[in-house]
Amino acid sequence: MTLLEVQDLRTWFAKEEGEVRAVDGVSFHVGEGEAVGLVGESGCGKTVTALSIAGLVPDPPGHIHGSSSIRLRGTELVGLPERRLRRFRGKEVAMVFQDPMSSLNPVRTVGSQISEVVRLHGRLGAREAKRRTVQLLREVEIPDPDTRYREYPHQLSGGMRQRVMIAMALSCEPSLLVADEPTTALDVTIQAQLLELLSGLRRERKMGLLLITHDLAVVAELCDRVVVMYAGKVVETGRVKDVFSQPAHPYTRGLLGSLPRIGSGRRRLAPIVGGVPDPAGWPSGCRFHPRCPHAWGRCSAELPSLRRRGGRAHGEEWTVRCWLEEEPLEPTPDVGKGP
Amino acid sequence: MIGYVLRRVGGAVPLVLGVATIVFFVMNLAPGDPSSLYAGPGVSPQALEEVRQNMGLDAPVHVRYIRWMGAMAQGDFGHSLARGQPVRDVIRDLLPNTLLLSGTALALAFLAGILIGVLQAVRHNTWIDSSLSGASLFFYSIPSFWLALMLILVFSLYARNVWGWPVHFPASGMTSVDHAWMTPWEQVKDRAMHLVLPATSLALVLAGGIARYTRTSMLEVIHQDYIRTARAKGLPEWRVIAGHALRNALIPVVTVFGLYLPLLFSGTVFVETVFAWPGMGKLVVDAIGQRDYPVVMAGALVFAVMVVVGNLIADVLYSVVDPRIRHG
Amino acid sequence: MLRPLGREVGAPTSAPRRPKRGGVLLAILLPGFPQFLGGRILVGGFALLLWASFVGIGSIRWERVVAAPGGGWDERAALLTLLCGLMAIWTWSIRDATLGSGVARTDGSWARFAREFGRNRVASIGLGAVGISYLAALLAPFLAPFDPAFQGDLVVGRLSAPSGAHLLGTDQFARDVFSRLLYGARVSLSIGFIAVAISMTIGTLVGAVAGFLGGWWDAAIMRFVDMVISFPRLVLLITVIALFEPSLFVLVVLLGLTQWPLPARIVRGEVLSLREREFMVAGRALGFRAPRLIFRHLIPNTLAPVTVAATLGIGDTIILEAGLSFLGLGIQPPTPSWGTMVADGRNHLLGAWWVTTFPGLAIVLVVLSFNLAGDGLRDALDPRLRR
Ligand SMILES: Nc1ncnc2c1ncn2[C@@H]1O[C@H](COP(=O)(O)OP(=O)(O)O)[C@@H](O)[C@H]1O
Ligand SMILES: [Mg+2]
Repeated sequence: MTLLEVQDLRTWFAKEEGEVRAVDGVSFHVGEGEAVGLVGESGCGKTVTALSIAGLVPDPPGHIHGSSSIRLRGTELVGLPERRLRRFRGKEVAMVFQDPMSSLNPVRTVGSQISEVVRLHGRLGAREAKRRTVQLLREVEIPDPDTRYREYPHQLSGGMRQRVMIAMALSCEPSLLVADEPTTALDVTIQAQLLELLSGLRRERKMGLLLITHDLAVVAELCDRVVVMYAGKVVETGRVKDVFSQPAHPYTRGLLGSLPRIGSGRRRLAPIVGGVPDPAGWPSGCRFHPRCPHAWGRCSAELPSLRRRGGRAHGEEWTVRCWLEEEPLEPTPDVGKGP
Repeated sequence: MIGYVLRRVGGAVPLVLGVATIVFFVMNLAPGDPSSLYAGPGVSPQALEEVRQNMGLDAPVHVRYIRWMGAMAQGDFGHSLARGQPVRDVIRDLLPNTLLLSGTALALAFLAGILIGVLQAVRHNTWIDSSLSGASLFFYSIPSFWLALMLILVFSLYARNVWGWPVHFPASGMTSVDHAWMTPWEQVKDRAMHLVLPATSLALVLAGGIARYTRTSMLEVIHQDYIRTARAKGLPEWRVIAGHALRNALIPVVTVFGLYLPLLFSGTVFVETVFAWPGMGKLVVDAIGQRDYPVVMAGALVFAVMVVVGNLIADVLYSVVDPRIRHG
Repeated sequence: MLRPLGREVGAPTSAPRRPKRGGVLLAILLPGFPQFLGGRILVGGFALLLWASFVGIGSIRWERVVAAPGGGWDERAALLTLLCGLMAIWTWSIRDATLGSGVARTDGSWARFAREFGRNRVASIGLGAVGISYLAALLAPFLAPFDPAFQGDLVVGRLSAPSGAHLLGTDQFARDVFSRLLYGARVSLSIGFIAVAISMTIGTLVGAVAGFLGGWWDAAIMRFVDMVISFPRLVLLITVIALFEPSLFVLVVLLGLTQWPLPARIVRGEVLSLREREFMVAGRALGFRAPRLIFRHLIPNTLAPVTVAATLGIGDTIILEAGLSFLGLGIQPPTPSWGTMVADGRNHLLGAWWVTTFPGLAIVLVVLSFNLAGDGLRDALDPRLRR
């Protein structure tokens, strides 16, 4: 069974200026123990996707459509009553957020914030929970964990705080970790350490990982598959080695193009022109067409569906949403298939 | 932590000195020599001169100022004319009563205000929120002396004489006339009953403002990232609010504690007068009527010191709720 | 741009409407009614109601109105208020109906502010109530059924319950509570207004100077402000008043002189943040001198928060004045003021609840209106604060 299966996720926000379709029909999956990268420019709905999975979309103004489906090991999470959803949060699905500076409660000690989760889901006593917490701090390579246990977030550096967040997320051995740009707010040197730590811990625990980032190099290094999002929709998914070597969608190509390449002799900089459109009114047809260098008549008129690309050689599931993609013309439903 | 408190105490000392200076100069530089107030109208110039000499008013201002400050530092507030007692003794007798009343009122006000504010923030933009907002603003707009009279009218006079309710509250004083003959348990009950109406009339006015602050602060906090983190842990909503949001929301509310003390003591003056509560507020008002000049000055100073001390308490509370200040 | 708060030129948000002949005619006959029909129920209804009550007062109290020019200052002021009020409503309604509301709706910052405020129903009602209470105070000579000092039959008419003859009953001297309430409004409202005007002026100057000069001056001034703020204002006031003979003048001045630290603090905060903004830096670079910078550029930009503080401050001041009068340290009898009226009824609470209840209720309603309006102003000025 697939660990996480997201089908046709639509998360909209009711705003004064109208309905904001932040996530508008997103489908993908994460297998057991698999690492999947979710990439795209900021504002294209990555965070909202992550929040939807954990049932944390603020409602109002946000709302997940009833037709959407988010399944965790077969259990449907959309429409689940809050009380039952809580049992998944922190225990089955854990999250690491972008900004470690603001994601920890400033008035409570680091230790109490972690042991709280341990006690909540593990049903441990106070002493047992503390022992476990210190051990977790040690596992995320925080020096002197006994002292750190009693310290407050403001006494820790950004990197340390993010390690605390990771410790908190791992505390109940979740089967899926959703990490929303976990290193964006940190120094470059610390980023590498932290990502290494994360991937090591993941492998040890055979945990599924949904890694949200706009650093494609990180995806290439850590992830098995990649999901590329643009303007609330998935535009390309597939194995990292396929997608990165032969990106099919012009947007993916643009993203990769803005990456400085080492080894290709020159730096190849072909950034995408323009910015992400206003989510309150996405462009018609293919949402990328106003910025696409290859756009033609059909692109602005009709929204292309996700189509499977290549033969068996390319693995089961390399899908692209683009009118340039004629072959193999076997339309898949708007759904990612399990492996 | 201790260093922080000491620094704050050090900062409060010049404030008290400054306030004492203001009190002195207000009383001494204003037109109308205090001696004429003291001696009463229509006394002969010789008698007035004698009073002036007795009060040391013939000395130049700076000498009097230094003398006065010296006396204050030793806790010597002079002698009350109306009561024939050292002012110090009067204050010693009455200050605890004022502290009891205002302390009770403050505790009630913060308890009610914070509860209401949190409830409003949690039920943001519902009818509960808007009706409580209206109620808060309403109570915030009520003069405490009138509220006190209305409470007397309803819960004391009409409750006893007209409607004959089984429970009604005494309308004046701290104790009943037969207090001395009661058993200890009855005495406690008697005092508590006397406290209800004055404390409520003070507390309701303050609670309105505190609720408004708490609501704003809580709404701010609820949108913070760490609240999302707390939810992501799978905590039930009430634990997110009580365990994570509330303490952060209280940080600015503690500032209100310091800001509201002058308001509280202003209210005390009225409420003590209305309820004939033997405290500092009533003392000062009575002393003005009796032209009991040393009592007025000492009373003003005591009120100012109470505010300063209250602010000190607020600072300490601040560092208790906010670890960033403790370690800063 | 040198002043961020300047009027911005913008296109009208809606095309000007063609004047309708019927609308104009209706506006002459029943000012406010065309606006009411046009969908602006609150504004139109308010204007219509106000106009109707002016006309009503004028016709019911016709003898007093014609006698007014020969009467005292109170009567003349009331007559002036009545005439100006009528003219203002007429002018507004006819102009509005002729030109259409489209023309007025340019996107200047004041227009935007007014629209933002108008959207807030509760605050608009608060502002309306404030206006009505000032009108009632000004029109007291026409509105009051009795002279406020007139004593009825002390044996029969004393402490009589509310009835047709005495709407809100009579007090222990058989005076009409309703009439005294109307005249008492003059004291409360004018003291509140004047005292706050004084304190806002002082506070703005002190705060602007402290913030502009900065450094040592700023520190010294602000220490002093802290000190005054930490003193219970009422205690300070009663201490000082004890030295004077209480009078209206003393009361106004003292109330005004004790409230400035709060606006001073607000203005200083604003000035500190404005000081480094580009228009100030530009001004300094152009070699403008300090007074010009302070008066022409800094103070206009702090007007908004000061207005909010003033609106809320009037409420506080009215309560304080009533309290002082209640203690016998404010307005002296026989001048009616709400505070003394509450005190008058204190000893007759059980037998004559109305003597104390109604003046207090008047205070609450007026202060509540000021607070509602003040909250609305703050929200309209700074939409970020709104929730
Ligand atoms: N709480 C919210 N209220 C209203 N709109 C929101 C909210 N959160 C996100 N959005 C909308 O969703 C869009 C996508 O946001 P997000 O998922 O954060 O993008 P990303 O994480 O890819 O940078 C935003 O442009 C914003 O308009
Ligand atoms: Mg994001």
